[in-house]
Amino acid sequence: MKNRDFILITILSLLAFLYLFPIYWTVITSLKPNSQVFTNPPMFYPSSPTLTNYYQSGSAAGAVAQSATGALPYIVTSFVVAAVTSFLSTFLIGAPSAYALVRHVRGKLWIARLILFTIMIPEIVLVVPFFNIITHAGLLNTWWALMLTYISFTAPFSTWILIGFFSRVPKVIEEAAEMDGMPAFQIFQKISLRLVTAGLIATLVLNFVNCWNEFLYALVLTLTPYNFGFPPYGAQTSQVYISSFIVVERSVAWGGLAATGVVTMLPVLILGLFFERYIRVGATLGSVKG
Amino acid sequence: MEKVRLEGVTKLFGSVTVVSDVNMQVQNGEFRVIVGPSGSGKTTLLRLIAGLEKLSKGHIYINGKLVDDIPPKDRNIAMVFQNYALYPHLSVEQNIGLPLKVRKMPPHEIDRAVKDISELLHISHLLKKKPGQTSGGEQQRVALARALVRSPEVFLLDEPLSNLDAKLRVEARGLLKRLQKELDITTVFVTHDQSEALSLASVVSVMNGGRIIESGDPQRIYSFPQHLFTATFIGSPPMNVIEGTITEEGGKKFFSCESLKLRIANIYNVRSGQKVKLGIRPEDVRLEGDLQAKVTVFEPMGSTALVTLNLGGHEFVVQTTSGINFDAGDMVSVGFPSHALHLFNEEGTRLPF
Repeated sequence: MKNRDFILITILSLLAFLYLFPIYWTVITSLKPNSQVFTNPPMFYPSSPTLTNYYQSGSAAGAVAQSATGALPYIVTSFVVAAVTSFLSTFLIGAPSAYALVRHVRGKLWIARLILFTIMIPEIVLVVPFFNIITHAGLLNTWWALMLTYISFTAPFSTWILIGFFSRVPKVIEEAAEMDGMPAFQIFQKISLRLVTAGLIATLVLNFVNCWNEFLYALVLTLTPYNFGFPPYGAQTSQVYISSFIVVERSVAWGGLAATGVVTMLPVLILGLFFERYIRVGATLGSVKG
Repeated sequence: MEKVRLEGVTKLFGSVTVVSDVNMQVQNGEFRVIVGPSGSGKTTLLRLIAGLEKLSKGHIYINGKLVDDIPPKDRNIAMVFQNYALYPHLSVEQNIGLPLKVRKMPPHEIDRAVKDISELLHISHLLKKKPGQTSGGEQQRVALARALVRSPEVFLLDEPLSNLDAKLRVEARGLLKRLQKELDITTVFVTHDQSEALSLASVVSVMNGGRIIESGDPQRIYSFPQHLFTATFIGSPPMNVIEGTITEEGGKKFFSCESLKLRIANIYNVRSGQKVKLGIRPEDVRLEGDLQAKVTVFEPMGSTALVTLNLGGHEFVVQTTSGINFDAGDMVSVGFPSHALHLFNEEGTRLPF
């Protein structure tokens, strides 16, 4: 027993180290002056921590971007796109489709499998078609480009997860509501939807994180940062901004890159810590009962 | 006046007939109990009346109005489910008030109705709690309150007592019977528990294999079962049954099997050589008489005791109030009073006098 515990703890510690070390490294790099980033032997804690990487402005060493200060418009874009997308695909598409599938459709298992199948298609396969569609629709370089694309990925995912939750709502509670005189839509809205609150939160958070972290489509479909003018224009996300620290054949502002990375990581980390319970439930429950 | 009428009601799930050609009339104010073993189709029948299942064949009338295609919400029927089906996210007060809120009753009237019914069911102190914070017995009363608050035409109950422990169940039974009388509400109650059926019903319908075997007032069902199924299903311990043949000797009729010969009343309309089944209730067997039997099991039950006897290879259960203790292996004399014998033909139908 003791032996097994020891092995388990060792494995878990190794895994935790594997996952947490890059985060730690990003944080300390963001606090180092550029000269200390590549020292040999490596510095595992900054000897003279500095916040320059977070607020310093201007462009040095040839990199386009220098510090985290410039990240604001990109973060606004990331936030709006992720929030709107996750909200729409969870509540407007995922929940109603999952509910309808669970309660009212025959052969739901096959439809559910088809949905799962679309989730499993690698995203990169569809980059070119999406680029074509978005270009022809004249939406390139707008929030719409990202929101529409992301919804097409998050909606099936939401539906899939919520099918699992809705099929755990006892049918008899809905029948009771039917007997009590509730119209069908109200039963969905006021009873069933309330009973899958945990699932909705989990789905919402997972969608938000997925959109927030998305890089490939954001890079391909957007060219300029969001501007606060009217009409607003541009739709690069913070993930794209991070990549702008890297300029091929020139130097990379590692400190600024790490600082922006930390800033970009924060919302997701906070969400994760705050809703950890729901995400865990969502990850383990979201499946269709045969 | 008749409140609910079923005409040839049939329900198939796929190719399986669950409810088969049921005809039934429930009078206004009647407490009808449908009793049967699990899988007999009783719950499906109740759900058909509620409108939660679609009819495959037949018609249902409520208050003389055809309701075959009317959805549950417009039938003005209330139903209490086996596991109560309370809304876990709403308070007890909101649970009870919901049927009225859905019907757009003004809030102050809802409050009053909820208050009244809660007092009647002694749950006023629970109103602010969530169902999950109350006990099983309390949840059950909340479910009753939610069903009764809007004075439905018909009150349906699907095994509402089966999730309660023995003591609460007896309590709830009394409450239900009192409520039903006080509110004078037409009730259809489904159960697998024959004692519940006998104690609650004004009319019992015995169901098996999707069919109503027979209906009648509880005393009649118990004392003069028209069918062998009813005879063995109603009553605990069940009626003793043996198969045999009718014989006649010197103008007297007898029931005979390999080891047993019993005089039966001449008034039975049976002929010599007819194969029959003979039933006798455990409490009707006398522990005195001219037959000798061996005790195999003795079970004291407090005020009564069950004695299992072996009589020429047949096992009999006798219920006695005599207070005498027996041991396995004891020999006792037993008698079968002819007035307590029930005769059924081979198909299980009661033989007439």
